[in-house]
Amino acid sequence: MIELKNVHKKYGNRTAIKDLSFRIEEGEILGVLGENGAGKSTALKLIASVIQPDEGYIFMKGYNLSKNYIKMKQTIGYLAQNNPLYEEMLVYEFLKFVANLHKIQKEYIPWKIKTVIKSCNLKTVLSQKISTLSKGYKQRLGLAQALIHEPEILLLDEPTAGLDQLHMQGIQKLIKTIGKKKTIVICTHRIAEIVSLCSKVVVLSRGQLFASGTPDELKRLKTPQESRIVLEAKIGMSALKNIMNKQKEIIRVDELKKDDEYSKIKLSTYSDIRAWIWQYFSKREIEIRELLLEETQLEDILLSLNKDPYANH
Amino acid sequence: MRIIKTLIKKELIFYLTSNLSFLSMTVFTLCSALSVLQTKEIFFLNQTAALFAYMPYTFILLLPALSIHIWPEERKDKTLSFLLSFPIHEYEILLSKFIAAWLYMIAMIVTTLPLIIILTQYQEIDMGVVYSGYVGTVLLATMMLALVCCLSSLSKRAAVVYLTTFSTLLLLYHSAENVITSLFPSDYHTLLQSLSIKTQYQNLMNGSISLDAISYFLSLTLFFLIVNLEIIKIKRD
Repeated sequence: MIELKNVHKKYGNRTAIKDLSFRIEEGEILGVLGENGAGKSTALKLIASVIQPDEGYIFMKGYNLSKNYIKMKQTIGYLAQNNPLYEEMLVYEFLKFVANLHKIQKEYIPWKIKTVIKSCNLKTVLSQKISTLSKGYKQRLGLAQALIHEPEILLLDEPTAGLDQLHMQGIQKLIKTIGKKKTIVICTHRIAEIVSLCSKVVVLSRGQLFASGTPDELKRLKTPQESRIVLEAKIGMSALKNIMNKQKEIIRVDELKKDDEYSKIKLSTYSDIRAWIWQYFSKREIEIRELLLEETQLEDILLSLNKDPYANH
Repeated sequence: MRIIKTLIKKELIFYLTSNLSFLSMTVFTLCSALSVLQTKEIFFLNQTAALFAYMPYTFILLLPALSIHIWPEERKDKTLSFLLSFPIHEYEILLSKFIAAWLYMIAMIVTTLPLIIILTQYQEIDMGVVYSGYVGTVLLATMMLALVCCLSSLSKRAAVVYLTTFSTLLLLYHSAENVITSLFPSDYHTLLQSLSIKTQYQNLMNGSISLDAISYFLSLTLFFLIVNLEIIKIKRD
């Protein structure tokens, strides 16, 4: 449905997006993940046609977006980062303003507004000035404006940023419901959000594609490179660290907890060495209280971007 | 057309509700009244001429303040990006902002009409001068507005925008003065003087509505609007 082909974008001398290519299929919920300044918001702005690429192409439903952006924008709903709204307007007035900008037929406008008010739960704040709304309601209003013209594609830039747990869950539930009928692209820092909402993830690093796949595929991608093992044994911390530091498979040893008898550490290793640990400690009759392999999290992928930014270059 | 109407309405709401626009309107009316009253021999000299002679300076003072709302605020609040995410052209945003500001400016000029009505009660006034004065004022203010629109799209910092637009307007209005023309070779002096905003405006103020002056102001307005459109396209972020 949407395809980015070798897209480049610069802001002055700073490269925001470099040779970015990926596809978004119809009905997919795609998560765009990356550290600050990775180019997530720029990628979304490019798809929303708020800005144009310096090089490369973006195709939407087969059309070149640069040449057909007015037509294509009719099929897009966009919630920008920080959700800019006209604070001096009333909620209803704002939704009417947005409906007019989408050229929705005048007789349908009240009905369309009613529909988004219901789906975004805005009924209680309709006659309020936007500046007086809470962050959660502003975010709902941002979603409502993006949905009012029933777009096929929804682009959401940090839709739950700055929200408390309750509001965040509400918005996520709403996105899940909308996602059943629409193609959605979400930029977020929240990995849990990606895991719970998205069917596919693209990870950006310094404006380039670092990895893509389903959340599970991305976790597997990381596993062969590094394993995390948590070990708690009845031995002093320094003795335990000494034993582990002699093992060639171990990359790093992190202290977690120690008391009078037991020490707990986290090991970053090149492979799963639990069998060796078990054998070594059993032979020396050292009690093991806990020995487990931690599942690789998407956080690990993000952390690895900071550790080794040129890994994919 | 519907989009332009919608955007104009949004802009007009700002002009009708913001403190800045009320303050500008009040300052403009007071300055106009003072310019009439300050004429030495009150009610005996041509005070309409005084009104039209001082009006450009009031615009030079106030239009830069209004220009802060036109683009810098919109860019600072990221609402310009928001507007650009809709299926609308950049020229529709520009035209609606310009038209709304122009309507507000016309409303400001209209506030000076009671002064003329009062003056007609006490002295004989050459209505030809009044008509051409108003035509000149509207044309000058339109051109100045297009220029401040254009300059205000270059930065999102309010202070920078105010100072840049204020000094540019002042400099352009006085571009025929000796201080400025002396910077150029003497061959260009006549050309500079004939192209000067003040010269063209004074011709209209004296009661002669010439096609040259009208086309001068309108073509400059159009030029600044086109440049502004290009700036918006380049500075999309």
